[in-house]
Amino acid sequence: MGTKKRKCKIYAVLCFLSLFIGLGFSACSTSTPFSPEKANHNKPFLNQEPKDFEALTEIKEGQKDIYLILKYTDNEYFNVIKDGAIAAANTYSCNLYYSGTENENDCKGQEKLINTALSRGADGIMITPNAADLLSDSIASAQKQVPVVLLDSIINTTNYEVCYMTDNLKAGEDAAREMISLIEDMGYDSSDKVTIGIEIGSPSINTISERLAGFCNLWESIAPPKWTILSEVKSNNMDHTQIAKDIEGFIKDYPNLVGIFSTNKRSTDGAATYLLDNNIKNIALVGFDYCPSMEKMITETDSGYHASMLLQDQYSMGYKGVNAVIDAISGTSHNQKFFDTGLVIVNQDTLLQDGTQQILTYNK
Amino acid sequence: MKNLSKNLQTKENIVQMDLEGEKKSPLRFLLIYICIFLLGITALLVTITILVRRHDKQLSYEICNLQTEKMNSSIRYMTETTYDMANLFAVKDNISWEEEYQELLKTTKHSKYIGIGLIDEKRNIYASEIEKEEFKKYNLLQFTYKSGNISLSEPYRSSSTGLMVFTVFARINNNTLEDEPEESYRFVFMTYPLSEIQDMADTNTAYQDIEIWLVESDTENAILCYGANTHSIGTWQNLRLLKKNVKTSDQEAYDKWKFKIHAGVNTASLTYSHNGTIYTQVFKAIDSMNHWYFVVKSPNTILATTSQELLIIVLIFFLIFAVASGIFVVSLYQKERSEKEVLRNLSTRDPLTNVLNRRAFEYNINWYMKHASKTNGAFIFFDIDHFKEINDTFGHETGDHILIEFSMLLREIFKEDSYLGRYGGDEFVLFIKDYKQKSVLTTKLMLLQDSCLTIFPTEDATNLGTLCLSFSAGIAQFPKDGQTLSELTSCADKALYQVKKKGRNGYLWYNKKDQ
Repeated sequence: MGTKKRKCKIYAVLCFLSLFIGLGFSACSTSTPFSPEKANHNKPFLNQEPKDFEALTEIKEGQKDIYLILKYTDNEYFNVIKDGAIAAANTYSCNLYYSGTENENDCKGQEKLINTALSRGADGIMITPNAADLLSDSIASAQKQVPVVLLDSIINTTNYEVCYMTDNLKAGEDAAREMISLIEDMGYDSSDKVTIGIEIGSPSINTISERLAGFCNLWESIAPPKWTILSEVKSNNMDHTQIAKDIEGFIKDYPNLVGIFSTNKRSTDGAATYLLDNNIKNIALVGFDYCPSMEKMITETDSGYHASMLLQDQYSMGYKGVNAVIDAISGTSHNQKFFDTGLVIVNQDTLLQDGTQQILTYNK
Repeated sequence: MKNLSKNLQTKENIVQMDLEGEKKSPLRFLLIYICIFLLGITALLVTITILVRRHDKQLSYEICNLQTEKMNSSIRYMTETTYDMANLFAVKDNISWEEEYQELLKTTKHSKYIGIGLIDEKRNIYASEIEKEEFKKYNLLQFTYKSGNISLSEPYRSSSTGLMVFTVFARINNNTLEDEPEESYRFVFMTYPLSEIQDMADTNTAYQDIEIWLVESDTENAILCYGANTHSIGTWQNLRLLKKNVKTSDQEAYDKWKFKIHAGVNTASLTYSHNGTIYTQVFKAIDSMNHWYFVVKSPNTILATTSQELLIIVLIFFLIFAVASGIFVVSLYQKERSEKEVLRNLSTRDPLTNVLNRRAFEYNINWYMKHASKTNGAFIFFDIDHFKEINDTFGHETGDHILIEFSMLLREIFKEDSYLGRYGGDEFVLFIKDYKQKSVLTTKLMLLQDSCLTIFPTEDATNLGTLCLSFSAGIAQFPKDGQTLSELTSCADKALYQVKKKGRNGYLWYNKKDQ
């Protein structure tokens, strides 16, 4: 009897095992159906409620109402755009309102703000678009009603008035030129085998991708063949802790590393802070946008650090943006859509120049 | 008068005495069937999935190949258009460049390009102010120094439109000069938006899920020419960044594929997984753009999406089939079992009394003796007294009736675990398994004796006075008196002989001392 029971149990186990194996194989072997949303490597929209528009200038009857929509409402970089816009609004006597999202990926928030601005009777809109593709339709729709001027970032259509921003492709090339110069200053020549690491904020931000493209472009054209860019590009998703880990990883894993290129403000700040905290002077740092840690590396002459800071002229973006809106409202058309507001390179050689000091003042 | 025959003829009271060792469980067959079926269907599903995957990969590869060809043709069209334009100037002498440029602007209004201009032998550029600025900013003249009659710039952002564009340069050949020096080359150029490549390639008819990139081999820079989201065209990327989308286990293959681009291979494909979807990616060199490639990426789901529905339908079908065939098999089994039962009965039972026949009885006893451990048994040999006379007096029908009645009495009285068989004629044998006490058996034998008196040859009461049924029985104990059937039979037979010698109608336990 005992033997029979055991046999039954064995058969039952075999049966269930076959069932599970079968189901397992069937489940594992099928490929997930394609979904563009899943394939899109952009972060999902965050449904944060943007703040209501606030007036940046004295609101007067009869003046044109211009609405400024930024990526971040409280950010040192975008505050400079705001400053430029305020200056222009006072010069050209227009009412300036301002709001923004709390996250660079929040396209829905910006769409909402565009609609709010239109519903309040905006005469013109200025926006730093969060995404080159996802906001195209909203902006195109708004452009049919009022002039829309883009600042800092562009969309991939022509349905806007004008765009004032840094030509990031060229900016990337300038960054590469700076890096080569710094490495040469450090004493390396074309016979030395050196590597450069790249630290980016996010792979889905077009600004960063363009800077990277420009950097790689110029590097391949003029850098010595033995000076190579690491195949691994580290992405920190704007996380300070991650940036420190990445820099540490670069230094630990690549003994030939002599330079780091950081493509945006947070990456630059994180990298500079790490190098300063650890007193690392044998690695050159080239980074975008102002941060006190970078300024310290550059201004402390004879400190032994090698750094270059690439500053955008966001003050001009804000100022010229207001000007462009006013022109468009009055019927003046522009024969050019894209205006490169240029770059100021801050290093130990250019630090004391007037243009450099002025732009540093704006950013501080 | 009691007639036990009808009461005992019910199916429930018939002792189902099958041959020992032949008891089978239907559950075992069902389980084996289910196991085989499940393994079979697994193999089928896996095979279908592998074939679909292979086909999808091939299909995606063909789609990618086709798209790269189309894109190449598109570029070829643009370069040929510019080249034809240049040929118009080749036949002209003493060109007044500014006038020719103005004429160009008037006569060649085209929706496909956004800019057109001329470059004379002194490197003067005849174009709009914005375009001249772009030449300066992006050093576009460097792209004219490449060999051949046609050259293309790298993509750059147009100040006029804000879109990513590229410029095609076509050399104006001087037919009067055999060896024209490089510094005196003249050019026509036309600037196209990047999106024009895919518009001309008419990729709108292609699967909406594909992506087409322009990739530069040295820098690994990539720019999107076509994708599901048309507003994404012109987006920059880098193969180093795109690698992050590749599943870790596929990254080595991705690196090898990338290496082929660096090595200048004309075309190569790659299959990798990202977020659960499998993609095929093919690169192909662009004829007129050195170091530039088209990369077409397509998800391998063209068939898989359809096949998943098919697989579900197949699975449901097979499950229904399994259930139906399971029911069929079980019912077949049950039918077969009942038929087997009938056949078994026919081969193991005495057709008259339905007790075991001699062969079956001997088989069962031998089996029991082989497998029984430390149990006692009792073997009884019965012989109906004066059976021949009863047959002769009342007829064979009565004789049969008596045999049936007697066998039923035996079944009723000795219904504990035992084997009952008809040895032949009027002889019955009974083997009681695990017999404990003599007294119990004796009591039963006495009861049997009394019960025999209730058996009448017919229902006719007038014959009562002429028949009193009795039996003689010899009993041997197992294993005391014998350890094999033949020994037990011999002992019981000897005891039976003693009973008959003493006048029948009795029973005796075998005693060796008495023999």
